[in-house]
Amino acid sequence: MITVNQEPLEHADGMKVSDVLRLKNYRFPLLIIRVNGKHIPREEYHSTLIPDGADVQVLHLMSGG
Amino acid sequence: MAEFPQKHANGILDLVMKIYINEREFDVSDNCTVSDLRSIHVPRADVIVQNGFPANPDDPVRENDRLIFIRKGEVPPPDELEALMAARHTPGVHARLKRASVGIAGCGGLGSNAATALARVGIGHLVLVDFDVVEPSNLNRQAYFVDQIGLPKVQALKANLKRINPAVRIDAHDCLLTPQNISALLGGVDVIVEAFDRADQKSMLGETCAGLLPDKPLVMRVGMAGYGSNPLLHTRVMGNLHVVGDECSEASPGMGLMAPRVTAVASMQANQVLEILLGPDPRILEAASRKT
Repeated sequence: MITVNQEPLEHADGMKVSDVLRLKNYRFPLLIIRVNGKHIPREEYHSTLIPDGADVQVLHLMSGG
Repeated sequence: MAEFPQKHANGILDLVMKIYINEREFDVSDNCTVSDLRSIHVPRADVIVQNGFPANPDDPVRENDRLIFIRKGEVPPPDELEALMAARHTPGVHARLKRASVGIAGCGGLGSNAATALARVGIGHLVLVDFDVVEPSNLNRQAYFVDQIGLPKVQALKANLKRINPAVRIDAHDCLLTPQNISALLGGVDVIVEAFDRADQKSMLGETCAGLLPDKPLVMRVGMAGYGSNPLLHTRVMGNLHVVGDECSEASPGMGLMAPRVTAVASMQANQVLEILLGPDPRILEAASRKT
């Protein structure tokens, strides 16, 4: 089990950041992602493994200011 | 009376204690009142603040008290203005904020209003970065004036902040922030406030700071379009990344940007900067725990 923005999600072997985004249906073009507090650069979404028990935080960036 | 040990009729000397009047240190008798000190130091002062709160002239004065005496309508000399401006601060806060530096990345609705709050509270050093000029559609939410239309935003904002608090040191950079110049322009500040309009710029700053300045606290804001819906505004902390806003409303066709919600979120950003610099306010935590 992992948590994504405080909500539980079933963990799977080999699960990557990009899998979490697909499962949660996060389709925003611009995101900031931290796994256990560590920033994951955009180009590593498809290669970064999510360990079981991880705390994943996803921030959706939107315009306006 | 107040100033030094005095011999009473019974021959007992008053003890002396240290206090601060308009942020200057004085030794006074330990049995004086607020009104005794006013008559000596600032006769006719009509605003009296003791430890950040309006005082009664008959109140006693205690060791390490901070008293501010102000005559309404009188502009004090520059060295005293700073102390009088901070009279309503929580005691001890001003000195710490004066040592701090904050970078403002973007001087639009968020940046101009957050910088205004931070200048009022006496942050010692502000670094402003923006490439744009003031235009009429900015004026429904940004901290500029009609007679500043056409001026570079950083130049106009610096002038406005100096009118509010001349003691703040301000660096104004009229340029676009890029991954190449972020370290040079903002690497030295204690906290960065992200205040861009466009999501791709926010992404660039977030990604660049995470790579080049990973230990630097960054206060981003996400979602403050439209009006109303106060309860949706919140703060989320992700390590040293602090996020303020509703995380849902995006400026888009049909969804505008207006002063009340934009300035509310700008103030939440400035408020989060204070919490980063000072730690959580223990008195608020105490009051909150009593209430529950």
